[in-house]
Amino acid sequence: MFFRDYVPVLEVMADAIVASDPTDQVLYVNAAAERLLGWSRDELVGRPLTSLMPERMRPLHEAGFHRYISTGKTKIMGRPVRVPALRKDGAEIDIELTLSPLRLEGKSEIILASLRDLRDRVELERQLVAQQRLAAQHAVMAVFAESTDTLTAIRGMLRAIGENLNWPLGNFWQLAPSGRLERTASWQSSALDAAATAEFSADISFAKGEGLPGRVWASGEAAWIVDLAEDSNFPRQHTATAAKLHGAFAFPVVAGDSGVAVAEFFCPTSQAVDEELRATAQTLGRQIGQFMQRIAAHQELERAEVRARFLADASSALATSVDYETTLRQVAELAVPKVADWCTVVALDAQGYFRRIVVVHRDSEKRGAAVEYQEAFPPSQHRAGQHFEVFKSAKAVLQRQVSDEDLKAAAQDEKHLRLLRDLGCTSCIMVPLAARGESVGVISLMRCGASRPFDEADLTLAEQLSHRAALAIDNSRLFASLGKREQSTRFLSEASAVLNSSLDYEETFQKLTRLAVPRFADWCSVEIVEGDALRQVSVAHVDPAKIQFALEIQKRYPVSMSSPTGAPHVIRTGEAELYEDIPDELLVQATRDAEHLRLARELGLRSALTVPLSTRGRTIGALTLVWAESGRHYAPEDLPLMKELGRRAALAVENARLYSEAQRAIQLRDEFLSIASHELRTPLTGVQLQVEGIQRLIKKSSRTPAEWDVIAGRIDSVGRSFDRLSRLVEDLLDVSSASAGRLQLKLEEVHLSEVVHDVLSHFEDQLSRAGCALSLRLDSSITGKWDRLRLHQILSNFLANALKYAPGKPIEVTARRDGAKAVMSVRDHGIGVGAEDRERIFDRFARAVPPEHYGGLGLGLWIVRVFAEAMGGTVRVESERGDGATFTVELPLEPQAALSPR
Amino acid sequence: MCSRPGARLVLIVDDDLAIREALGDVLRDEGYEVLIAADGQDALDKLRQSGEAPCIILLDLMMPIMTGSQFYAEQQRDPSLRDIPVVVISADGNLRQKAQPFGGRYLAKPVKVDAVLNVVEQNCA
Repeated sequence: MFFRDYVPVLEVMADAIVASDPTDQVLYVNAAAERLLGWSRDELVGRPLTSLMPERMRPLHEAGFHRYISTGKTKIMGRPVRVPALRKDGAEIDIELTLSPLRLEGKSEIILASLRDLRDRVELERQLVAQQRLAAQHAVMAVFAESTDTLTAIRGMLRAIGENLNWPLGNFWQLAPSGRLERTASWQSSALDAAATAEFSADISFAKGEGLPGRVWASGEAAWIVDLAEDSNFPRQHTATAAKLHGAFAFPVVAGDSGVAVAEFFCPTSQAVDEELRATAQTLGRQIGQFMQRIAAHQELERAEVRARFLADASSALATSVDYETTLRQVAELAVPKVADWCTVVALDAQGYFRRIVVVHRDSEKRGAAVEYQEAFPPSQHRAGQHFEVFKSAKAVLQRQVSDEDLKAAAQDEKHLRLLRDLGCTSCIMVPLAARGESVGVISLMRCGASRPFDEADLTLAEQLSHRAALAIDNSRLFASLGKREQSTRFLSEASAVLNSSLDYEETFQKLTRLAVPRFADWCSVEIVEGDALRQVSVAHVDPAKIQFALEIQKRYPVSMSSPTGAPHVIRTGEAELYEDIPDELLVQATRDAEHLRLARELGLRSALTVPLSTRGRTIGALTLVWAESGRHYAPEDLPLMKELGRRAALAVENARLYSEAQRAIQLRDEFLSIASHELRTPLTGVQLQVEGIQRLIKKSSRTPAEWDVIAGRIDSVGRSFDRLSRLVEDLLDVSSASAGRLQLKLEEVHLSEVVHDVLSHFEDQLSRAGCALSLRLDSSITGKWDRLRLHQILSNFLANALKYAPGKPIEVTARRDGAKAVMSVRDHGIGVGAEDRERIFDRFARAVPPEHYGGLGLGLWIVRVFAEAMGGTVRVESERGDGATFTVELPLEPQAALSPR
Repeated sequence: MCSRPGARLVLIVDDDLAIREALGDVLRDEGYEVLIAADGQDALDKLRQSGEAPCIILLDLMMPIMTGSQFYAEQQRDPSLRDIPVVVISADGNLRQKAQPFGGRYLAKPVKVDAVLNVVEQNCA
């Protein structure tokens, strides 16, 4: 076949056909080609084929053509390629070119180029791409509009661009504190093999000018790589090949001053440079930068708002807390999760030890670990470690990044490390808690996992929180001091109760010192002056072994009364002594030798307070309080309480002393009375027996000379004196037995009238001698169960008083029954009893009259009262001074019934 | 044995000479025979030496050498003496209680002659 045989077919084909010969000259064009290229067939035939191409394409074509002619190898033969063509009018049109060789018999090869007009399609495509880009831009905008944090926005942006423009992998690089670009976000389409791309871009950072991101950073311009495999500045080539990535472009994201960022996208095929996309990307980069700034600003605003709200919440919560620990607990609970993921508060307790008050974690699953952490790892008491540094310096610490190495360094042991890792810490702030310029603790705030690291703003917030907490702590301390005052008051009242509960002062002091420990002291002792020496009457400590130890020291090194410090000094001066601290020099000074010093040091004394036990200007001893192992200290404000305690203790001792002296005196008197009565009675008995015997002999005597009458009269007189003496002795005996509680009644059926007559007959002589007319009104039928002798004595004493104070005046004796009672009274018309004396005259040794005028022991009425009360009755006197007196005794008829318990 | 009801022998045990003598005088005035001892031991000796048992013992409590209580214990141990009635005569302030172990019979000093004669008469009729 000849070429001309094909022409009719070629002529009718819709595609433009250009045939060229081996010299690369046009041999034939069909009608469609004429229309497409604007050349006539005659004009084109014989012209070089390159005249149908834009200038820039010609070297490429020539190179390929010659290679094909000489070697037969071809890149494009048989494969449609998209190339530009040059029309006669100079316009370039996009065509799809397919080359195919046509071998004719014996002839050289003809190349048929089929040109398909792509102008419509290109337009469509252009429009499509433009739409895609627009869609991508919209998507990016939507992402930024919806995002509240930069990281989410960036991830969304990578995805929006990647999906819309069909670049299935994107990375975002930001300038890190290291001064290099580090990847902060990435996205890849699920169409990519994740395993293959895993290594790509991992663990790499770029300096300015280095690699694709560095190149963009350096130039500030978007960059394009047609094929990564052929790029000379692409350090990730190896992993890119593994990930089967070829085409790439990247653009700068400029977020104001805050720094440089670069977005880059990759494609599995090599990509011709797309200037339009590059220009779009450049614009997009600026927009994204603005968005990022806006989000950051918004975030900052929001954080500021959160902070403000948080601080407001904190202030109101802290304002209402009243105790120290609750306050700190609230601080921690407020901080989590708004400020930190977890929080611990370490504070000095009342004993001066560091204690972890609270651990709060936002993650409820970590609560267990938090509790374990709090319980198993109390803060070091050796005052080492970071929290103590913060405590000591009162300066906050911000540790933006906390690495696992840091955790290892901080952990006390494996378990501690495991807990720290479990609780998690990637960023940390420690702020001191200071109240009135004094450090009281440390707040630690931790963030972990995906949380944003702390920054300066967080530190400021933490400091503000700490400041507010400090105010609250100050308040709660005020409350505590109020509480302490209340506690002090309670202690004083308890102490007073103890002091007054016993009149044995040694026992009192033992109770007192025990009461002070451990609330007000670790040690408490009382020293009392006895003669020229000092005696420790009590020492208290919670540990008996320690008391023993202290006693041993005292035994070996007794305190000298002349000591210039401590109890002897306080006793000498009457002034309290306060040692807020006990420095070692003080021990050296106060001890006598090396051994003494060693023992004293072993006691670990920290602070001491000695107050005098003074009353009425006399110092009888000293009370010493010591803080030792609890590490607490006395302050001047503790003095008033302890001085008051000392005063009360001294008063109690004085009272006890007075009481025991009085008791002793009473006891001595009773003993004396008892012995005296016994001793008096013995000779009385002899006298009485002899007098009575003589009287009997006289009566029996048959002879009655006048002398006998004289003798009998004298002996009667002796008998009367004897009776009086005898009654005095009996009174004394009654007093001593009654005051010793030994009064015993002999109750029997007694006719009151019998007793009255008996007594009156006994007094008959005395009454007439004293010139007292007696009138008697007696209800004769009164009987009761009484002690006859005591009843006798009651009436006798009444009558004896009447005779004594109203001689020469009439006396009325009445006895009547009043219901279940007998009422007996003796009325005289003597000097009477004043209102002020009416109660008193029934007391022991009480006398309403001056002893220089009236004798007597002052026991008569007291004995009446004791006897009457012993029989369940009462006594009273009705009288006005100068108008006589009526003494009345009321006795129940059945005293046993009246006395027996109901 | 020497115990003979109706015998008018009285034993007075008292360390105080004045009382011993006064009691003795009064009783002798009334026709009694009197045996006198200055303490419990003396009383036991006198009882054992005497051929006749007294119809009553007037016993003081507080005495040297042997007290009234010790005497009473010894007397109760001796079958020949235990039936002789004892009346305590003492100046003790708490006599009612102290006299309980002796059968509860007592006279408090100072004692009236009539009271002494009464109690003696009751036992030595």
